Amino acid sequence: MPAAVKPVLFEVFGVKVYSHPFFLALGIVVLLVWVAYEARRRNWPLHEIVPIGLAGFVGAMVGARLSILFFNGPSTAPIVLDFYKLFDPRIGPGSILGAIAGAYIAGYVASRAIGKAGCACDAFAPAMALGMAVGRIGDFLSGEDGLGKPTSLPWGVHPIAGSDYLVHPAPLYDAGFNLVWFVVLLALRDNPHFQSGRLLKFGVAGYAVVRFFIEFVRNNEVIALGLTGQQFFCLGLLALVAGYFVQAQRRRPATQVV
Amino acid sequence: MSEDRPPDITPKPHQGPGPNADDFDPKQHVWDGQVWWTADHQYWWDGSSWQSVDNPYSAPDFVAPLPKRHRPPGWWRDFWLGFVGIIAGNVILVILISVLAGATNGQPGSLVGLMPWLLNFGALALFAIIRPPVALGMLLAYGIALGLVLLAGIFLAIICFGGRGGVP
Repeated sequence: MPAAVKPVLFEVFGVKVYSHPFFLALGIVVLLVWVAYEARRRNWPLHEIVPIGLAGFVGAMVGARLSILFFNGPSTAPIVLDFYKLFDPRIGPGSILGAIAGAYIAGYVASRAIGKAGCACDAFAPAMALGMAVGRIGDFLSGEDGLGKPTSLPWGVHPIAGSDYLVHPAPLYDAGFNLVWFVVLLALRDNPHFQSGRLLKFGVAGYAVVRFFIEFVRNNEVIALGLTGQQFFCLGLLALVAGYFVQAQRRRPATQVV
Repeated sequence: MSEDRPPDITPKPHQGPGPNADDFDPKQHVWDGQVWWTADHQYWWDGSSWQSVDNPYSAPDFVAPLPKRHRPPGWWRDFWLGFVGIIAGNVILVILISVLAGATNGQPGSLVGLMPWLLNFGALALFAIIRPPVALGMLLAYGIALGLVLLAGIFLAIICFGGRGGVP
């Protein structure tokens, strides 16, 4: 049976173009283009969105790499803790969950450092979902982590050519959800209750919930209580976002104008 | 004799919390899809303060480009200093680490291994506080380097961190 995966996307004059990094780069380009569009729509000046976006990108790359130490254990330390391996194109960037956390922290710090009034992060919410939807296609085509656990479901795919078993196309679950989530976040972007950073927090929380369940059909390492490091990370993210919304609710005055 | 001073009809500026404040209550304000308004529609939020309705807000669809921001003197010099400085600093650091590794038979020690992290992000944090344009130049250098790494990866068979706790 032919495999669903296609690690080499195409060749240009004998030079191979690999699907995983190609779709990763394409996902980042799509994300940046959408952020630029959203910033223009919201009339945010370039001198604010450029440093925040740059810091977010650098934070994402650093967060993606460092989080591997937590997800994959101390055996990865020689690579993860080597600063200059961050600039080695032969090594994959790391985990998307770490990238989200890194981008959020770096973007927040940059936003405070430039003294931005308000929060620019809502522009990143739909963009992030769209970028991840594109990036996950590369994960699927490269057969990352064996795609998923074995399954007998009709949409199971062959992880390698000639295999006599099917696996969950886990990256496509992720991509499909992110595409739907992009539309939801787009519909909510002008809602008054999802301004001042709330849209991004809601977007991250939504992804964390779905990613928690997708992890059950992925091949990541279980670290405790039958859960993977990524699942603990998702629970931590959800706890932080829930804490923020509870706190925001408490601070709201009781009196309301009708 | 009483003073016949005309009554002050200048509208008082609205001092309530803005949308970025913790005690801002969305239920006491109105969102028109572009800006926040006070419930009585007398003030709108311009991003940093409440503006009177007399200072009208024209809802932009795609507005004309914002006016170019004037940088203080020396801003660009600091920016390029940060950009070039971080590249030069890291080249020196790589040479230093390889010399140290050579002196200790390829085992540079964990503190030396962590030095690039501490120096790079320590300097970035320090300059973000004392001289932001330098930090921005550094950030651009990191961004370009990491962007090039991603692009170069397209033509290379990259190793990913394996799901079962190892590399790849």
